[in-house]
Amino acid sequence: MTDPMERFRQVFFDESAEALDTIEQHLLALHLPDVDDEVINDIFRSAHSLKGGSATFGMSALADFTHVMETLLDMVRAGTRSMDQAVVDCLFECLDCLRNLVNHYQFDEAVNAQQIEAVKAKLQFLIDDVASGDGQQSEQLAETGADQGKHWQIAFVPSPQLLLSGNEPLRYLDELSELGDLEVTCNTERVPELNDLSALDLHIEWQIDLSANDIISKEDLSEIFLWIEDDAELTFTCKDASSSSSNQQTDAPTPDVSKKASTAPSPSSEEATAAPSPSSATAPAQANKQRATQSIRVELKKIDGLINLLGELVITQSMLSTFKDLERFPQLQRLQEGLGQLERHTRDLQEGVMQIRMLPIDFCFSRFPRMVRDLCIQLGKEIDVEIIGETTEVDKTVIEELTDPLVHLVRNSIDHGIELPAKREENGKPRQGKLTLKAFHQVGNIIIEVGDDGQGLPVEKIRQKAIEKGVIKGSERLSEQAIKELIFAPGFSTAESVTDLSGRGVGMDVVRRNIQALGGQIEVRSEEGQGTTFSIRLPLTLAILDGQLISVAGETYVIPMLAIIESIQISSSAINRVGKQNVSFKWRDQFIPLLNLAETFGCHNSGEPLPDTLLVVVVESDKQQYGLIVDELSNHQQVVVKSLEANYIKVDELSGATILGDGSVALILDVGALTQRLKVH
Amino acid sequence: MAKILTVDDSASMRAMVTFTLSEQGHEVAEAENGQEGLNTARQQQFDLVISDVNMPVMNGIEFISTLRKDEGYRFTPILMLTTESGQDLKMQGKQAGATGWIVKPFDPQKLVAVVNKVLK
Repeated sequence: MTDPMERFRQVFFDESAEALDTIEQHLLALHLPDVDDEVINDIFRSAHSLKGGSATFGMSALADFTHVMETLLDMVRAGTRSMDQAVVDCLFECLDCLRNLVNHYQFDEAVNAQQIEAVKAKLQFLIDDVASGDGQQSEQLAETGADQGKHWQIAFVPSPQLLLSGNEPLRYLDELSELGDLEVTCNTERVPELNDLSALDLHIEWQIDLSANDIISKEDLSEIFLWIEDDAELTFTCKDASSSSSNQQTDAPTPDVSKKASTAPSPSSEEATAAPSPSSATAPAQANKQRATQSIRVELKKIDGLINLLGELVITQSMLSTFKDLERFPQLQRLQEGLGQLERHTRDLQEGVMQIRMLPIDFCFSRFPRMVRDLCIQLGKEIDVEIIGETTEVDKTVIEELTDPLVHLVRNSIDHGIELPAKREENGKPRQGKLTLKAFHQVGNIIIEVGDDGQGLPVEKIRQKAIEKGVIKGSERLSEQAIKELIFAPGFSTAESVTDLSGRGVGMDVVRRNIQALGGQIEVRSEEGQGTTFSIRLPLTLAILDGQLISVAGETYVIPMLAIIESIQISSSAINRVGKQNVSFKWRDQFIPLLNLAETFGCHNSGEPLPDTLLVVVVESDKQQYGLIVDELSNHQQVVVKSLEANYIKVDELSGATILGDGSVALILDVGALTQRLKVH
Repeated sequence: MAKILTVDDSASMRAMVTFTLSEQGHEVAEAENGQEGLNTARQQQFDLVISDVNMPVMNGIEFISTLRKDEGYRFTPILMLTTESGQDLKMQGKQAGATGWIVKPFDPQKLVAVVNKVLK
């Protein structure tokens, strides 16, 4: 059998990650000097669970560290030390150490012993600062005497209320009997008259003579009675030392009586055990309510397996729906009806399963307050972070892939966007800058915005820089918005000096590429002096896509519905040509580029005469509209995206492939990448 | 075998207690905090309750003192699980009506030994 402790360790690691996040969030939310007791308690509790767990699972370094941390927190909790800036700063450092230690045990990460010792010393300093010289552990002053021997006389006089703490005196006698032979004398003198007798009280006393098999100490005996040392008068006398036995009270000499007497309260206890509590009827509803928010941890692999399987189901289902030749097979009517239902259920199931992969974007956003805090200290800026819509749910993969670009955007905002406090005041703005992280849903998309109220994008500076870097020509005339969007161009960075934060060669073009790889788009809105907002638009999920099937030269392709603006019929005479190339056509009062997909994919020779009327799908990417000439429009359906890269090789202009109902493969067009073709034209 | 309720906000601790005691043939129920513990304990009678002290919503001391007042739990052994060896907390627990305590860290053998002792 594998060590069961190993499994609990895994649970512990998950838990510690949560505990660390809790501590971090509380620390970030603190506004000294007002400190809510509940917050301190919560921080304490998190550290405390970490300590308990780590000690149980043998992670001694982590247990040692949390112990010191807990000592300090306990003092804060008890009010003997105030929660001041020094403590908060130290606790932040503790967090780093704790993460390191947890990672050490979980992933074998090297322990940063130097830092940990330093922080420990800091903690100790904060503790000693107050605690110098008060020792309250003096309660356990054990009387010393002749403390070892084989023969003991024990007087055991329990308090009448002993039974009410769930303690059963016989249990202690039993335990004593494991040490050696007992001679038990029961004293029932204190038992009142029957009329005065309360069933719940205990009035029996015991004298016990113990002849132990081995030499035992007084501590061994105290240990046995540890739980009730305050609920009973206990005297332990070693008879080895003074061998004359002391006078024994012999009112009720037989052990039998003691047995009988002491079991007297027991029936009532058993009765209580058997009888269901009268209040039980009202409890279930409340319990159910609490259960509703419970969760279980599932390995991601299992969920992905389920999603894959579901993809297959969607394919099979669309395959079945091709049987619809009702004229030849009238009995298919019933099959059709069943299939209609199956389709609805499949769709519900699909939504449900996709939902499992969704996580609140908080998983990504929650790291920023801390990051901003650290950067502010480094740069001498004052920034308040506002997070809106942190419960918005996003596919887990999207969250993972999104984190790096967002970190980059946030750093940019802090580094270049928000001004120093003095400069802000000069410009009549509040001293404290504001960074806003926002997430919300919008028709099948999720929008994530990173905004600041800083100085905005300097249009003229960007233009100059772009000319300098050769991104645009000096003669080029661009709209303001177009200039702002130059920051996404490869090889562009306005940072005058390379700071630690940004301007490290990873530019906004990488951010944009990352977002596009997720099937998303990024836009910038900026007002000089007012601030800058980056807006990222992403599909809700990557695994399934709403697609329009089209055919070109006998092959079926899929165009993502999100990219399509409309599909129209135009006459070939409406197309502007340069030489033999079809270049553009007039659409909604503007000329937009046109791409003949048959040519693009090398199915036709260019210049082959086109039919009189053409089907054109107008698509949009990066605010650029263009038309795609297709041969035929067919179904609009959800398709399961299969990676080309994983199954074949990466192909530019195709974002993946899917399997259609008839089992054939259809390629999914990457509308963004196809715009490159237009530029070649 | 006995019916045991374990109340702890830490899932790993609960899992360990449940596993260890279930292996001994006991029937173990879990609750995440004192409030949940009370709800569970009032739905069915347990022979032994093992409760953590530091928990959100309702802590162990409050849980124990409330449960101890219930008719069905007047004599039931209730153990505190605690990392604190501090006398204060034990006294608080005792006053609330705890039968005894188990000091964390503990290994499964120790837990089994204490439970057997209490259930005997």
